[in-house]
Amino acid sequence: MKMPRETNPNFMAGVPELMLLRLLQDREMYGYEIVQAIRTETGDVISVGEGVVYTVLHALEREGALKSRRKSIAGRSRIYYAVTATGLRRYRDLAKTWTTLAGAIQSVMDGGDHATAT
Amino acid sequence: MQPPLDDLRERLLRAGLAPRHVRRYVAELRDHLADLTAHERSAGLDVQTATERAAARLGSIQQLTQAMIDRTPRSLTARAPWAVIAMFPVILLLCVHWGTALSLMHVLTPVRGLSPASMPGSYRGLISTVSFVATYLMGPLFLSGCMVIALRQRLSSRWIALGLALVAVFSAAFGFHMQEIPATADRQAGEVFTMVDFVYRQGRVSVSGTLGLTLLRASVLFALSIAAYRALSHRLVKVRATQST
Repeated sequence: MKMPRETNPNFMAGVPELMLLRLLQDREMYGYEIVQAIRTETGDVISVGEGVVYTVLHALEREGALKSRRKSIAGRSRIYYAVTATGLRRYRDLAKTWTTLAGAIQSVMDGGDHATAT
Repeated sequence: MQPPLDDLRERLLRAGLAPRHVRRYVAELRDHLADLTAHERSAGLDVQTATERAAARLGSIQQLTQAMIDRTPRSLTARAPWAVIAMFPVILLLCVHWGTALSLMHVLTPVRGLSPASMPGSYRGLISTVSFVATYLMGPLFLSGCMVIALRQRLSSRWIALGLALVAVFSAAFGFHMQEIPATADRQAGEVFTMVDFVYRQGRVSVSGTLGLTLLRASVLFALSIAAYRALSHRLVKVRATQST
């Protein structure tokens, strides 16, 4: 089984927050579920040390973007996270910034291709 | 090999993160590691390989430590140990003495015209109990509180020594008394008050005697509390060593 390569952290600023806030809008999840959802949704393209996700979750919770509750399922107690109204607003801001940034990068890349072609 | 999560906890506490944040982080990592190991085992790997792969996926201890430090504010105890360990307990101790004296005076209002000797037994018992607790137990109680805070946050020993010394001096200096004086025209009998424990010689306050008594009591308290702190520290180290093997 191939181990996924870790994503270059220089390109990851704000990305974990964006993904967590998006994924947790659909349903509440605990840490392991969230990481598996990220891996599945991104086809293993985005992968960091899985334990690091908790530092992002805790920071978002302190900022009021997430709320957590302890739930026992099948004899195991886990902490489930869900998005708050503040988190939804934060997600919209982050998504807008990310879309603008991605568009700008794409236009630079398109220009680069154009320059090479001519 | 299992990742040393106990080592991670120690690193985070020494870096000044609040114990409650560290406890939760380590607990969630343990659960995550258990899920990862179970997942790798279900894919057909043997125990050792599954454990190693799970640990690699969780992240290195350096990575997990740095990520938590970067995103979590340091606790008040770590940012201002001088306030939490040294200043706050002394102020609180003085407030408790003052508050206790005021409360007792309020409770004793019905008997405030009487000399202590002629008070009902229940009032005398109440005064004796409160005096004993405030004078002899309050100091050790505050010293224990300082020790627990310092041990939980893994504070450096110079802060705990300073805190224990200050609390020992102040709790040794202040006593709680019922003044056994008869009522006069302008003064009620049996005033309850908290004050520095003056030593009288031939009817006058003896500065050397007062200082000597205070220092003696403070030294005993300080020595006992430092010994208790060292014993608890060693015990914790042993427990952590046992847990990690």
